Amino acid sequence: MKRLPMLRDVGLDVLTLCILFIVLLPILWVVVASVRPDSDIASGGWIPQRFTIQHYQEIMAFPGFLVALKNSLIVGITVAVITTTMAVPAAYALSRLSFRGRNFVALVILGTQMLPSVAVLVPLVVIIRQIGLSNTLTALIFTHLSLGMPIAVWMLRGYIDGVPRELEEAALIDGCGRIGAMVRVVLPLIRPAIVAVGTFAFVLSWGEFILALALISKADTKTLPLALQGLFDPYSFSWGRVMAGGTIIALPTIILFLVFRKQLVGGLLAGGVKG
Amino acid sequence: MAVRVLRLLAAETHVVFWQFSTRDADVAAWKNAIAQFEKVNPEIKVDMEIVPWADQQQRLVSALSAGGLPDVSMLGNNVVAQFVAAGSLTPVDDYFASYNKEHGGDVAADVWPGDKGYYYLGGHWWASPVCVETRALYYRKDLFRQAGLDPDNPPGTWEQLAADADKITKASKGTAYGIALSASLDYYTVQNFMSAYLGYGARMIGENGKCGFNTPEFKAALTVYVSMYKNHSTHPDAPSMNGDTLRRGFRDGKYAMILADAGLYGDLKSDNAPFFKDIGIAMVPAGPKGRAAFLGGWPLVLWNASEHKEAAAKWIMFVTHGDALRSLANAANFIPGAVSIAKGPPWNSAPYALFVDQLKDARPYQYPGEAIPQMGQLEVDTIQKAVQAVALGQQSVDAATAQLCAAIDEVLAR
Amino acid sequence: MAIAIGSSDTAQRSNERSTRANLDRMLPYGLIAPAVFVAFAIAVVPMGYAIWLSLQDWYLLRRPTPIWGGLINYIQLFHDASLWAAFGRTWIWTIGTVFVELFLGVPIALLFNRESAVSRTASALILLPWVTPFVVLGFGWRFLLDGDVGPIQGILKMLGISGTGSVLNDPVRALIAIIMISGWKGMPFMVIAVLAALKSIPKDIYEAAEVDGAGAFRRFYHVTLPAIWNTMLTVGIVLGILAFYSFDLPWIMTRGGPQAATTIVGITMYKAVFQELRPAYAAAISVVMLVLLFVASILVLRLRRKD
Repeated sequence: MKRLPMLRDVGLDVLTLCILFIVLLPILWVVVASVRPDSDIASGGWIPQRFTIQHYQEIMAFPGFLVALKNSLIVGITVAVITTTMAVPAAYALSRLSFRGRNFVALVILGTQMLPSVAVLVPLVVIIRQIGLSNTLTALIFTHLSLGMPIAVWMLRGYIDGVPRELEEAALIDGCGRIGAMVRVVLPLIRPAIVAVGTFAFVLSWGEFILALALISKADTKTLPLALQGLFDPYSFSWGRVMAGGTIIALPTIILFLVFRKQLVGGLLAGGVKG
Repeated sequence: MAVRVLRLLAAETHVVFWQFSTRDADVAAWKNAIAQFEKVNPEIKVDMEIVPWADQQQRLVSALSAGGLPDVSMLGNNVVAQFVAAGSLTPVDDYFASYNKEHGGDVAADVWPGDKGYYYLGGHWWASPVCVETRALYYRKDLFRQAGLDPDNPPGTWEQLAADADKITKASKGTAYGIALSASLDYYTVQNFMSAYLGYGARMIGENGKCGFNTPEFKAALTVYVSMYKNHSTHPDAPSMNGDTLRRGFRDGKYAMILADAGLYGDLKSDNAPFFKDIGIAMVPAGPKGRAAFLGGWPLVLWNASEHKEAAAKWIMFVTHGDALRSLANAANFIPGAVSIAKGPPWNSAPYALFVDQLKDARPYQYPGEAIPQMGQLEVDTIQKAVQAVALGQQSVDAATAQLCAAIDEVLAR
Repeated sequence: MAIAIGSSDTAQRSNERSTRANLDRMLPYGLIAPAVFVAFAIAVVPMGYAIWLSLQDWYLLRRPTPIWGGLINYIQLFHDASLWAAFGRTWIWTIGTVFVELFLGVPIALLFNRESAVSRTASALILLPWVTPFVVLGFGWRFLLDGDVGPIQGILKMLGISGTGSVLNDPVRALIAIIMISGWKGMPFMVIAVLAALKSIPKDIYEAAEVDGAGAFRRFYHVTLPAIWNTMLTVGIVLGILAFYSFDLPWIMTRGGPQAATTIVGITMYKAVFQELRPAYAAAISVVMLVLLFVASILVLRLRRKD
């Protein structure tokens, strides 16, 4: 009897790996290409025969790349933390509390997402220049906050909607205030959602290019997407180097997520609700 | 001690300079030039900011609307007219005149003839050239021999080019294509195709100030250009490939011919390609009305928003002439924008000599007219759309030309 | 927050109560204040600017500064056939992208919703397409679809979907191809969002359903689907808005071509601002798009399940 479930588990694991492999095939190609010499990438066939770490070396030697990496990390993590910190209470309020203008506020928050970066660009740059914050990471952090905030609020609201009210009623009766109920009951249950939303905010900030380009031109405050642009020389283009750059950009996010993946698992309701 | 303090207190003028190349060699060369300039002009500091090529238009237009323009910048040669029309550049005639007075000679006369069409607008000079660039025909002598063609007789006309490309493709039996021709919306397409339409005598702007392409000459050029795709002399993906891929392909040995810049020679050398000794370079093919080569390059411009115009102009004139330009061009590996310097070493030997020679035939897109402000916009994909449509068989040459002219007229009429 | 059991004085108690009542009333506003402030600060001023700009006449090549134009841009917009074509394509692109994201994302989330080490690691690695920069993916996919050496092109050719050249040469196929790629890129976010929702379904509900005799499909339809429906909808809208203004992917893969087959609104607006130098016109386009997107979102939101 024990063997059947185990076989099923192994089978599903294998299926998971197969699907993962198929879905990630293009990424795999990018990573493999980043360690092959340029001439092999286009014409060497699928199976690599020669390997080189030259592209990575060139990138690491690229002035400002490591600085850009640091800047992107600072901005990304700050944005993720602040976004979730601000979005959770807002989502809770929109979900649980009734107050005047609730639906209107929710819709308008979502609406702020619907303006494209191109339209937002000029007034933003003008304002930031006026307050003297050009070329600072602070300005970028604030700008990126607004990128992810509306979405974070909406998504968290959805998840909180899915948590049964009975749990908080119980806590409120026990003498917790609203905020206590939020922190002690709801938060732990939506931990995976918070991780998801935080990841979203981080990734949005990490890859953001247009606003960063408009706000930052000094080398010591550049972020990764800006630094990556420097790899595109119209006259001596190197596929391998671009692929290596892309891998370096993708990697930190994956590493961060791997570190936090246990959080994604948490949140299972222990003991059930009904009854 | 007092002297030092006084020196510190003396106001330094900072000139913000946007530089568009990210290559290490180029950045080092510019840093060198700046150091030389600052030695001679100790009260001026040049702050170089590196804004990559791909981002320049975006950065400049944003800065135009929101503020933050530099004092001096590099600028693509065919968008100078665009920014002149927007009223954001300062003419440099006066600075030319004072430089002439100080150093003798005539800097305006030292500008390449094609560049005059880009930088001398409405009776004023708006830019000081730094670099010029043109495309020549690289060809593989070994593949020529294999196809039974004379390796010392590269095609001199577009029709010959098409014929040779066809022969080579067939003779190579699938191992190589005759020519790395682009028919996509990439810039590369129009940079090559312009030699064809100008060589056949087509004119972008007609007598009446409207689109002048709707002529048999243009259609003939378009037909012969696209024929190379239709004959399978180039990659089947040519209508959607970009220039880098084709250039890479040539370096990998997949094509027998390519129209490319002088830098490709250096790349091939460092590649250690097995066919390097078989590389020949010839002038771009001519059409029935003569030879017209692509004219690339970029100047330095002085922005109207600058608050340090005198200092900025000093920097511009210093680095775009004389020894400064010579050492810059040498270190960064480009052909200098001053004729007298380009005629001297190392540009009078292979492989540069041919490119320098060809520069006398290098013309702007809207030759023989003056540069139009809308050219930057039109270069993006307007003409390429016509080439791509015909190549893919979506439109006939007549229909594509008519649509092209409609598009150009619409832009000109705004 | 402990409830202060103070003196038995009624007046003091009712004071406390009204203070508490006031605090309770203020609470929601306090909770939403930071988020609203941030969202508005960066959005309200630009929105105002965009509306103002859309009423100006500003063609940088003719005038360095704008002058009042009234509805001139909107009238031009109305007559701009290529813009409406791009607009139509953008809806196809957006809906197509979201469908691919749902179609790939939900089953993968269901598959990865397990306890094993493999599924946990897979849930992290699945993020890769989403976090890899567009520019790199664009080049990677171009190679995969290359008419000569692209492996995926080879497969497509075998299936008869593609001819001798890459799919990117054909207008219809190019659009489909990049919709697929766009959906593939956004799918990871759908996966982790749906996974987060799945993780909140208590196991005993499934067990109860199994005991009741429900098969796998009925368990999915009656237990799983309702639980993730709202998430699918919300994330769908979010990803849809992101996809709507896409610029990088179509620009890098096809430059909006062949001809204008993959020119979507994001590309049109970018060109209008940075190449055609018509910021006022672009502002008018973004105002119109904003309104249309808003209406569409409200309509989709009506499909939400209310508990």
